[in-house]
Amino acid sequence: MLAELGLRSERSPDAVAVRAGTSAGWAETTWAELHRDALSVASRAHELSRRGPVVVIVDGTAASVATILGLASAGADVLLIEEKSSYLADQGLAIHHVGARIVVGPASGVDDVPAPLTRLTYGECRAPSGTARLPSGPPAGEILQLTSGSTGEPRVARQPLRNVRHGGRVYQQVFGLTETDVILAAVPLAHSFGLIGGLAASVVSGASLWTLSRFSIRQVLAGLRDGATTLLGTPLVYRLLAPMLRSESGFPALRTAVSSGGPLSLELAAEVGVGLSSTVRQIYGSTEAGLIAYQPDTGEPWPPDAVGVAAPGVRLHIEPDTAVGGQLFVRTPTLFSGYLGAPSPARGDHDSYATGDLARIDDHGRLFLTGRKDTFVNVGGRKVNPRRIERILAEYQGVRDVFVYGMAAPDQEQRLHAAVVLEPGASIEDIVEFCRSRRLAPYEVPHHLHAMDSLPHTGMGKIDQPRVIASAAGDSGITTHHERGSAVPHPGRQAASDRVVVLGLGYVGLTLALALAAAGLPVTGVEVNPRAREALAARRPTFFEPGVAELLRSLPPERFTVTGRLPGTPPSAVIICVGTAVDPDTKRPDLRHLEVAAAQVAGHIAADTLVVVRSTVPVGTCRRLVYPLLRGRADPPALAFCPERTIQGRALAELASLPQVIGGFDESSVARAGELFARVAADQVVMSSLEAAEMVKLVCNAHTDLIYGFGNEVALMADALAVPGNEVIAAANLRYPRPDLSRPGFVGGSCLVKDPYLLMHAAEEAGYRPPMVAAARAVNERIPRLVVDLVLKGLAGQGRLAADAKVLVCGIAYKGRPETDDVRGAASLQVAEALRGRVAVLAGHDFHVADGRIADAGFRPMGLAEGMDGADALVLLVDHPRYRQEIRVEAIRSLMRLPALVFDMWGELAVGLAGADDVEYLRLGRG
Amino acid sequence: MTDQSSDLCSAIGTVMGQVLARAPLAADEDFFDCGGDSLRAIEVLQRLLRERGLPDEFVSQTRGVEELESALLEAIFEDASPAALAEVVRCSPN
Repeated sequence: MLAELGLRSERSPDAVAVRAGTSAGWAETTWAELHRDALSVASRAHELSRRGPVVVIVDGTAASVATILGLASAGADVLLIEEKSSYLADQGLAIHHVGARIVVGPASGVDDVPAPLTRLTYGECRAPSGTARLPSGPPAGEILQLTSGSTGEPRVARQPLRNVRHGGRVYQQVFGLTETDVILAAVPLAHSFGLIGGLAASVVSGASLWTLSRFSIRQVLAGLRDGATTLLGTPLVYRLLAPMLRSESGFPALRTAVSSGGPLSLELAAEVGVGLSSTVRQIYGSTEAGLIAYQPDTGEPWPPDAVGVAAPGVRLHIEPDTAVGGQLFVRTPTLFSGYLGAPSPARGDHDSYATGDLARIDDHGRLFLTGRKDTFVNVGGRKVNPRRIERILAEYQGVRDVFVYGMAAPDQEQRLHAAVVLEPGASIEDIVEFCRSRRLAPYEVPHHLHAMDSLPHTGMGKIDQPRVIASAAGDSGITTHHERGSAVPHPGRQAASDRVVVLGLGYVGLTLALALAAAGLPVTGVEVNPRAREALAARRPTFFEPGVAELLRSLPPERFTVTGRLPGTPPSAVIICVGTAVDPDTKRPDLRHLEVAAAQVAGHIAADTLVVVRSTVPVGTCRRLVYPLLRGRADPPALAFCPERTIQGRALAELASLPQVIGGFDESSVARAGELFARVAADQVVMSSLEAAEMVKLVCNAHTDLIYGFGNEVALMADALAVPGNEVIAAANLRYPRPDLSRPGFVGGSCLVKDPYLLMHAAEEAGYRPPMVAAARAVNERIPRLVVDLVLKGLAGQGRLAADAKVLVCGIAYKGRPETDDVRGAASLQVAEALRGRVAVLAGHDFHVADGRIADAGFRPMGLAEGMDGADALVLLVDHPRYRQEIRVEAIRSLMRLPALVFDMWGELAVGLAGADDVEYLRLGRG
Repeated sequence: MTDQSSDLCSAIGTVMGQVLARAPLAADEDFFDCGGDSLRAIEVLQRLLRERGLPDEFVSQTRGVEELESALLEAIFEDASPAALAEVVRCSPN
């Protein structure tokens, strides 16, 4: 690569090769300077590497780049580490067994170097000026990189320099890099992504390389404003950048944003894509294999969970190749030459490398990861080996037992957790202090420490990981938490037939089933949907919920099984979690699923089986509908009602932390339900009857509906009074502790639109019609009608006849996030009803709802551009992230009739459209 | 230093200390030097803004929590001391 540097130096000596961001600003180095310095290092490479590999601390400066290139080009093996890496201090690591004697780093470096290593500065590795000459003869050396290792301790992967160079060429090709490009590397150059995608790609393509010596959002933004064309970042980098981009007006020079280091969520990709005005393209690879797959720039919609197509020269092989995927093996032109000190490269069959990930490939050659290797914890793109952290924590005398693992938080970034058993007198703070004294990098110190009385073990003597994870899920909001007592589920006495059946593995059923299984109970889930069964059997979650994927992966097979029908052997308990509905026309409860489920349960239980109803039901349902069905099997049957009240995104945590309401047919039912739920919910609220428990759940949701309803009522009143409603609501909440007014908006979803009716139905049957519950529903259901009024008024205000107008409604499903094609309870249905026949063309668009169903809903199905074409008004009802990306002011100006009327239910388009010329932008509560 | 700004500093230092599982940070101590990483920085802002770690008068609904969060997020990677963040909170347009 020195030769390429020479070429750059000859062709464009004064062009900037490296622009390094430091706390003092940017430091620029030309190709001529970089070449001169690298050459000067190269001429001393032989002398420096005589006694083994040279460790280079890579701080992102041009000096560090010159040192790597000079040493490796001249035959030295170079081991790359980040600044402040704990690998230097940790004597137990491979780095101390590779025979290295010299550590090169910045002059101002803070890293202590233990004996027998010697510390040199970058400058001290160069030949005195004028004496540098290119050594001839020695073959290029190898780049050595620490990887997390599949088991045990981190290992040192060997990559010949020619692979690094070839990797750079692949990036050049895939991302179309030329001398006019600027690669802004917001990732460390010591790791594969920064080294290949940044440093090597820059040298082979001639693109300028901009680096950061310390991550700084301000500097990334400055680099983007200054003309970076290609941004390299991890999902965490993009997550940190996202909020900043809301007030930026785009970066004209930027062509490509690349994400690597972990899964990038659809929502984050969409949000950042809008802010950067550039698609965020994922790549997938590893230190050992190099680049494996990349997201091509096709302009076509990209499936959110695909990581890319095979990179040039890469062959993918999946074994066994089933519908749900198998082990991913790869052959890449940049496959490493093995681990240092290991006899031969760890390769699978077919002379290919086993990535350890599970994957499948679709008909278009797109690679989907169905399970990522979880032997390490991915902390913001850095791979941390939990076994190594365990080893270090166990060295502390205050720690008796320890288990380290990773878990994704609601923001989808993994955090490092440690469950520890402390010696008397030791504290969490002591452990953290110890970690820091052992020079663990901040990201290697567990973010969450859970003190426990003991770690649960399996019969085989291993730590029972699922039980530990489930215990810890209860305190996900707290960094350090003492959980003595109830946190570790006590094993308890188990009945002869100890299996628990959870009937219905929707959101409510699956989270509970996993929590119970993790607490040590054998659980069978019964699910009628074969696709859901198939996914769960393959341990793939059917929805995103923190902890669910981890539990599915870690539970032993027999602890959680999934079937389509109730097992023949009567279980100790059955928990019914099927859905209940309200008839859309009559608003009467539809309890058919529950009735069928209860009847089936009655046929599969023993006299002492406990039956728990967890579905939300009208008051009186357990006694009147379920009890009579069970009575034939046992007299009296053990029957309890235990409602679910968790919120999406925190379900497992809330299962453990929220009080569990319990109502029973009799005292014995209450006691047995209490015992069952004690496994997962220590805090229990026992009610005097089944009916009281049924009512608690309903009044909780009716109350929420009431609160939202009042926010909407304020907006409606303010509208009538020509007062800005949002201003009133914000001011009412400001520094005034009592009212907590909600902002106006459509109240959808299955619970809030349904539960108030279940409550009303029960009360009315008993002779009381609740006016407040009914009024809140009525106000909330007026919102779609209000939207229509706003749009019609807007048209009239512009002097357009509604009867001649074309209106496009975007978002036919009931919500945009998470994505769904479910139109039940959707605002669009009522909007269609109100607009049908009143406008010339009522077009409908949705990213997921099929055309036939859009037509059934009362719209003419159209593509987004087709729908916008010539439209007078656009009504956006949902918060699907792609609308933000695709409904841009430019598209509106070029397609719609101007001034264009845009109604935006959730303020998704506010950044681009509020105040824009040619657009009349409408939201609820604006006037 | 006024009482208000020292209150603010100590509120921020306390939250940083909680996240780092150590004593509150002094006004001029750097969060990253004391063991912070990006994920912990997110946690600090989360606690300051969403879980009432900041005295109420500094988090107004009209200014928007998001705006203050962006300002703090940008600032914390430049100077992560409680004093520097307190300055951002006080100077952010209200």
